[in-house]
Amino acid sequence: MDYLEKKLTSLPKVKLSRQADLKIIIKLYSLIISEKISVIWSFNFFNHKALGRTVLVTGLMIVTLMLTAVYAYASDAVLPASPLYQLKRVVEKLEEKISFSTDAKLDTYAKFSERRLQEVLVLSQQDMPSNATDRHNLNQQIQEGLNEATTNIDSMANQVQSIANQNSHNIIATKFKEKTTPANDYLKQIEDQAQINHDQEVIIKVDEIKQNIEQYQVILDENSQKNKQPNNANTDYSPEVENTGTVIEQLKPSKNLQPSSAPPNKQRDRQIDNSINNPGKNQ
Amino acid sequence: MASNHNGFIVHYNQFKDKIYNYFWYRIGFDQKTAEDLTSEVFLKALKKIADFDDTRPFGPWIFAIAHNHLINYYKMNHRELPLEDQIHLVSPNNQDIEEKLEIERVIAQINTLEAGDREILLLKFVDDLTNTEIATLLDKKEGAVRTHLSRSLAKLRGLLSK
Repeated sequence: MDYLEKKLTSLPKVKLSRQADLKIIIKLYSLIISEKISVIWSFNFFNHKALGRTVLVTGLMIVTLMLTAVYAYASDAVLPASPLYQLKRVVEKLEEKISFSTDAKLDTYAKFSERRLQEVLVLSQQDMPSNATDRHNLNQQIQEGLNEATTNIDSMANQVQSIANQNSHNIIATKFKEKTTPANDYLKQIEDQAQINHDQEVIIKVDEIKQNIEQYQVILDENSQKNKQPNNANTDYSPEVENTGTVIEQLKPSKNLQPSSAPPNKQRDRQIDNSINNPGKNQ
Repeated sequence: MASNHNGFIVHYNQFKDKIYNYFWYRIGFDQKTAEDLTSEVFLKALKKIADFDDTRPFGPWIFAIAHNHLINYYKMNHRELPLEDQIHLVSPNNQDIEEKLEIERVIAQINTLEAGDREILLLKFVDDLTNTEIATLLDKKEGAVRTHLSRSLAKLRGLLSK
């Protein structure tokens, strides 16, 4: 190495100041940490993304199903022919299951009977399909609706009987009357529509339901009267009624158990006469 | 990744002064700018650490980044700062006036050289790079670097003897 090279080698070598060095170190570590965080975040985000997508889709499906179920349950337009009808019935079953108290069950059955009768009314107001199969299906839906309403009214009677064990009889008689009033209104409308449609089968069925309700009501009223006059135990329809309101069968009307105050079934007789006189009108 | 980062800090401690020195001599002995450029180079290197082949030496790689960064700096500032602009800032410690003046004279003469000659002398004698490292950095063969270096020294010697 000659003199010049020595001179060049001895040129001053500066060093980074401590402060600058510290700043750079901090920047470097900040970058390292942020990169590590971003790596961790991107990894977790990938997992969360997949999980989130599943949760989102499942959540949307649940929300959609719930909204559909709420719509089906609340809508009068969802009739037996609708694909949502089964969903509506499922929700009703659920409602029946969660009706724990006797009062709640009574309300539920009253509501269900009203619904079935309302559906029957809407169905009976529809134009009769020209297709025989469709006509048969419609009639079947009407009959099923009426049967369901009957079952619900029977269940109402059961619940009323349960209440009768706990409360005064005049209260339950009033309660039953109150709960069956809407059903009676629907039955009246269904019967009117059946008259228009000349649907004897429906007329007879409606009449039967009305009789049942009337008989339940009469028995409840009579039990209420007996309760007021405990010494007067006479009855002309059943000796079992003397033991007021502890057995459901006491309230169960039967063909052979006509209460003395039950009105004569004039309408059904009239319709049967009509059907005999005009056999072709009934579809 | 973690080992790369830890290794990078080791490399930083090894090369921080050399990179700072590299900029200090090439941007007119401006301490603040040299620190900023040094910081930027190491941050850039850290971001690109995944591209670094750790079977090869770190020096040429970090100097290559510094070299490119300096070129960008020159482009952004539209000029290349000559050494004599700030030559009075060369103030080595504990050196007598005569020696200080001699150093300033050498630097002044280096500055009069062509850019290529000046650069290779700085790389060799200020940045303490080996011929191999210079060859890698300037993308030349080692023999060509040696020849270039010899020629540049001869030119500087000629200038200083005047």
